[in-house]
Amino acid sequence: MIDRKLRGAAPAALLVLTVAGAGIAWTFLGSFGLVKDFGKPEFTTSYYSAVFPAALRATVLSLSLTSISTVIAATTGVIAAFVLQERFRANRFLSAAITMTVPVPHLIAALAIDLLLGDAGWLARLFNAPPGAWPQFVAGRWWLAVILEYSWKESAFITFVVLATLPYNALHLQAISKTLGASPLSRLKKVFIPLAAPGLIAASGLSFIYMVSSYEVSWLLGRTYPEPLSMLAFRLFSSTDLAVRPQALAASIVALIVSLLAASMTILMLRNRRFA
Amino acid sequence: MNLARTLRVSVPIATILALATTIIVGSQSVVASPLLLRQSVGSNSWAKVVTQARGETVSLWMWGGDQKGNKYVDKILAPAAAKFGVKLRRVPIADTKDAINRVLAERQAGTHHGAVDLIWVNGDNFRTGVQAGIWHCGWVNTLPNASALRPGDPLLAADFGTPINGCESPWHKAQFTFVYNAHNVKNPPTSLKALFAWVIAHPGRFTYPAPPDFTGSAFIRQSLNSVSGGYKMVPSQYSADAYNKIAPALWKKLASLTPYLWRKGETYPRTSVELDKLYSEGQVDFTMTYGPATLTKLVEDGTFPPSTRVLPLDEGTLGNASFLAIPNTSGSFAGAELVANLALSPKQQAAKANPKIWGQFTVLDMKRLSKIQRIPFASFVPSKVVPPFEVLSRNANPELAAAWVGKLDTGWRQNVLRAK
Repeated sequence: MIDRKLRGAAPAALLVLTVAGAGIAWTFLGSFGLVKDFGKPEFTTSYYSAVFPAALRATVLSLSLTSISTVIAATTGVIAAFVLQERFRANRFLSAAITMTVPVPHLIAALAIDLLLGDAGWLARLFNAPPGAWPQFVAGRWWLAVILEYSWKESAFITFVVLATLPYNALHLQAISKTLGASPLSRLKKVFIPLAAPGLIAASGLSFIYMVSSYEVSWLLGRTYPEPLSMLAFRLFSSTDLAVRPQALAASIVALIVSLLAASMTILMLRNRRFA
Repeated sequence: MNLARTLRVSVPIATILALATTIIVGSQSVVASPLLLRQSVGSNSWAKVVTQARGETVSLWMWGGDQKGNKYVDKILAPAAAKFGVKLRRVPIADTKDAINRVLAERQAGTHHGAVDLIWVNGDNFRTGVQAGIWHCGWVNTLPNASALRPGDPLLAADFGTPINGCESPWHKAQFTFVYNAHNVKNPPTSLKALFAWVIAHPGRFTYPAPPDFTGSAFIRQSLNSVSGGYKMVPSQYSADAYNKIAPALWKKLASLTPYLWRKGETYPRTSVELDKLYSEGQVDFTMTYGPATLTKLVEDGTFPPSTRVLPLDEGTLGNASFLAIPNTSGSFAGAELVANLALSPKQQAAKANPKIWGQFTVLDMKRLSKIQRIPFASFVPSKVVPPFEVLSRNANPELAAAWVGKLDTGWRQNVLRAK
């Protein structure tokens, strides 16, 4: 059984390994100075030490942004899934909103948030806010627009995955607990979340990893300083000084390590799942 | 099953929307060059280049943030190239670095028919290319239209201090320009020093794009000239000694301005486009550009307020030229050279210099043109917003060597941005 499963996954795995593997190998070698745009390749850890202080600060910011966004996205995502599952007939609008949100690219979503919440955005105009008076959602100190964008987009993804991975008898179990007099809150806590846990954990893990590596949302809605890991890597990589580029690769390896840790944690949680 | 029905309807619609966006965004990276024989051109006569170019596709990678420039290339330059049987394809990019990165990646992959045939480039990006050896060189002097360039024109001999060595062909000249809203700024300052005083007197009404943005980076160099007591006090070639001597005063000055900037200098517009947006929204009273020619149109179409004016500085502003360069991963050298030559022709240069079309200042020497060739240059309707190039370029400051650019950008990050 496992063998057949493995064989089925082989083409996909091969493709991922070739594309991602080649990219990661190149980044890894480059970050140690073994592949270069110019000059003699030579092993060195100097790029890591050069980028270390900035990368450390960037990691802290990236972890904060992604953790907060993941928690909000998972919470709203699972509640939306619960509402949809229990009473989707009454929530055609909600299900449309969620399904439409999933395929919208983050780039477009970020632009939409900017148009809505920016200093001279739609809402600021609606309230006739004079220059400087509108709350600093975009590029503000608390990264509110970034967190909102991530939470909104990823919550839709989480709802989608949770609904798709629910066991077939979930609706029955919910109905039974309802007839036995369980309140909506206890149905959510004691019945729905335990059933949805595998999908919820996997989807949240995926969201987290995606957010660590995405840069366009922070680029459009964040501030110039401090900067998350992906922005640090992007900025260094697009530096006109080619000598700085290996530092960008080192920063990317740091982001990769963060992502791998998050992936291992997700897998660990899925294995030792003891919910409710 | 209403959920299922909603899914059936909305998922395809949303998927189509997303796909369309992806295709539009992604199309810029599609390789369009047909497989053509790679031919060395250097020694061939021009007639041979013209023959070889027929049937080639040339992808011109250029910053896409200037609608007039995009239109000029699509509607005027491309049809002219089509007459020679060359298909000119414009690839819009957010930053010239994207084109350089693409060429570097292609070279690492060993590509000889790359997606990039021509790049609109200058300054530090050109130097990066020289550093990495990605340019096709020695072809500029073979262009017939190069004869109308003035030999020894300082803007065309070196690009931000990097010798050109026939690796890029001049396209236009530019002047760094401050722009203000005369409705809000009643007594406009006439020097950068006075502008700094204005900023302090009017908190929150001024900011500049964060380097390494091209325009923000130019603002830092312009400020360096001002703080150091004029461009003559700044050595054009970079040295650590010179940097340590003059940069601290610049950082001190800029750091002292931050509390008076837009958002108290806690964040900056990331690009000049973002600064223009703030200006057009009335969030700030100043913007700045290295391409003042576009201002006329921006005012005409209502993007910028009608009271938009150019701010001339007594001490003059930075001037530079920009170029067309061919990467050596291009499979269409002949076609790219033909387009570069065409772009240098008096007819194309005049069309491009017309403020109604693009308004980019010509690189040609008027004295080397015939009377008839000069007529279109004299016939432009003068702009209410932008004075002519002779006025703008008065006391023009030469650009610093490209080696300065990166050091100043990094220095600004460490001493001004992080100091907050």
